[in-house]
Amino acid sequence: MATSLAACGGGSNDGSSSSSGQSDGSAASGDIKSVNVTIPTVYDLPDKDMVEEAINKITEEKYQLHLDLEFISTGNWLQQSNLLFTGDEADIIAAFMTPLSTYVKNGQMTDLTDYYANASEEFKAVWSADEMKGTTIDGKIYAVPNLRNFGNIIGLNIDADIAAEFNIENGQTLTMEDIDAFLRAAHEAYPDRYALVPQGSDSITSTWTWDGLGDEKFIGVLPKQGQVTEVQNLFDTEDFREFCTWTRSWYTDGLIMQDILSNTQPFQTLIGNDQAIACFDNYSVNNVAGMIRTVVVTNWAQSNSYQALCYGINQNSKDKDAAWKAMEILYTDAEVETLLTDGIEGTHYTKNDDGTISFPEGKTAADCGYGMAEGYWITPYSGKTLPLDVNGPTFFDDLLKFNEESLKTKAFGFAFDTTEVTDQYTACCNIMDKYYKALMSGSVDIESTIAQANAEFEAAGLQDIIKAKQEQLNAYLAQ
Amino acid sequence: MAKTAVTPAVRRPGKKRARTKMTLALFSMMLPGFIYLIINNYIPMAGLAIAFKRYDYSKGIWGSPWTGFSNFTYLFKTQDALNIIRNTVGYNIVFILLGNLFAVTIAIMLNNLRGTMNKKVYQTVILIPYLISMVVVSYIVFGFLSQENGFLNKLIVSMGGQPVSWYTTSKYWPLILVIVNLWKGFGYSSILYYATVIGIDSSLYEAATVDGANKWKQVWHVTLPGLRGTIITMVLLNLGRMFYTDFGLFYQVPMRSGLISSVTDTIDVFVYKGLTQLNDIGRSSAAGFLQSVLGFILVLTANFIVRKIDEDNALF
Repeated sequence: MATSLAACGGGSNDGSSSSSGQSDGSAASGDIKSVNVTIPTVYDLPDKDMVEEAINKITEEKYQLHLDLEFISTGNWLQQSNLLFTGDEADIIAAFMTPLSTYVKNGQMTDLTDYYANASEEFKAVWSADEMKGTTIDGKIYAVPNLRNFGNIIGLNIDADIAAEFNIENGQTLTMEDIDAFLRAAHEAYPDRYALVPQGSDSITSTWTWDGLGDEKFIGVLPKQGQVTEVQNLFDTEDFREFCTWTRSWYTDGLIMQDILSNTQPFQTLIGNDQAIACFDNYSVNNVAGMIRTVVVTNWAQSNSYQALCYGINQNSKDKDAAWKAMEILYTDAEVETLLTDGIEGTHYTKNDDGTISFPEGKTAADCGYGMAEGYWITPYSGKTLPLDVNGPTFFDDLLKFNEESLKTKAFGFAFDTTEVTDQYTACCNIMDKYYKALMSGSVDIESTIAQANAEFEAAGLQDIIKAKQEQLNAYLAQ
Repeated sequence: MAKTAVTPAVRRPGKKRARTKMTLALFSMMLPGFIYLIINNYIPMAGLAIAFKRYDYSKGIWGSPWTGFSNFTYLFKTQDALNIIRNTVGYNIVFILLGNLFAVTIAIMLNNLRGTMNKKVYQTVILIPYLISMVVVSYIVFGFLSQENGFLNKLIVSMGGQPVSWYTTSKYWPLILVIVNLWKGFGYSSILYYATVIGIDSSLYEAATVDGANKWKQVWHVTLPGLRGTIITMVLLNLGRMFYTDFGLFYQVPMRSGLISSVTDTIDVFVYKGLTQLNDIGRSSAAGFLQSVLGFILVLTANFIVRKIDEDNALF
């Protein structure tokens, strides 16, 4: 705590911590503090050390801080991040896959309210006090959002050539009836391809029109894009039944791959290799090569959209002041942001005339050594970095505009706290795992399966959860 | 084990010093292993306290508040609870019975093979499945059961039948899991038994031959009695893990298909699935605590019964 300022913002947790918001460069003593930053990654990043060195050249000189970067692949994230939270190795760490409210309930995240109050103007310009409400729990800020699309359009991605053949244009709005007609016709024309493949390896679509209220198992939801406030059992909502009725008819007629529940291939591969024609996908202003996008569900944001991936400070961090200082750097220093997101120019990307970047000739995000540019939605803040060529030169401005235009669920910012119903919730999670994907994929009969699932839900105490969710939501809405 | 060390021969003073010296040397050899056991197996037991705590990361193990048994309730509250316990215990009983039967049979067959070359080849071949990772096994199984391209469905269709949706039909899975488990595990345990079989004094077989015993009689009267001790030890060890299951087998091989979970969910899988979402250390420890306590009781009981019947073969 060598650099504590006199104007202490009222120590947030342990008396000894104090704000160092505007203290950039005040560490006259010259000792360099080390802060660990733990970030999820989709691709292996063998050149991580090279990037880390380049970043530290800047941060050590400018801010007397050494950033110690740690990347964990998304497949191992759940287990490894849990372990990291038991120790003090990680300082700044992503809240990802586990709901932020769970971390907070377990006492794993540091209260950042005072740090934010004393943060630099630059930082506040990135995230306004209003936006920070998205990562506020019980009136306290526990994390800082990163830059992603907080809302999503959900639509059908279609192989570009086949779409052209059927006169479907990029960005066109389709109803489910249109999709039904298209899939059947396309299946007829290309019988050896799957007409519809899953979005994730084994789920037909990751989101639709229901809001899980901070609970990604969807146990008790607001249907209709969150425009109603009555919490309902997902399986009883019209939205869910309608979607499943469509997929069921496609599945029985052989339009959906029959092995969908054990599929492991991503749609990019299946459609890219001409094995499939279309898939559902959620997106914002980003494009996907070789396919066109259509609109089925318009741009809307779920209640936990800010919290689904955000960055906080580990409760066990030894030097939280230094960690917050590093946090501000990650959100405000364009050079650091660009290095962290895009890597090193010439090695990991080349600049184009229009301001976009491309991976080096013949390389992709997977094999260029540092493919984080495709993971702009993962790094703490990518707003000041260079957009990839597929996304276009105005990508990050488009993204900010897209976020402004999102239809927000009425429960925006609400996160369900499972504490009082943990037993019931654990049981219902297991039932959801059992039926949700199978129903969504159309591989089982709807009426009989829902009846069976609802009987199990009832016995497991679903009503207790819905009641608790409704009470918490009412209290939140009344605020 | 304690029984064998007791009755010492008549002691003479000079010999006693020599004995102490020797035991000291032996004890010092044991020391590294002993320290390892203490650090690795005994000190962490203090962590069992987490099962009775409402764990708070900022307060640590001892600072978190006690909650009595509330971490345990979720294991019994659900309709699934009975199902999961039935699966865990049921599969284990079948695995222990069939697994050992199968392994002993193979060990005896190996022993009756002629030619060292043959023996070496068979030993290696049957051990290979044991060395394959469960993830790989799950794809081998998928190669058989895939709905569109699986070997079995192709076979069924070529014979004029309707393809079966294996991964959504629960009635086949008890059989599938038992087959996979046997296939994967039999090599390893039969080699354990084989080691005992080749240790049986060959003069016993010669004597049996002289008495006119054929191969079957020899197996029945010489080999099996010789294996008795090993079989009992193996079964006792397996019993201790009665409430645990091979997570890979029950989680990976069914490809996480939800619809068959009523016959594939065991305690480990249920806890994993339920808690990865909640990140709740207290409840996970509670499940582990319960499994080990039940397993411990089971071993004690089984050992007690074995000691009543045949004292020499009891573990302790």
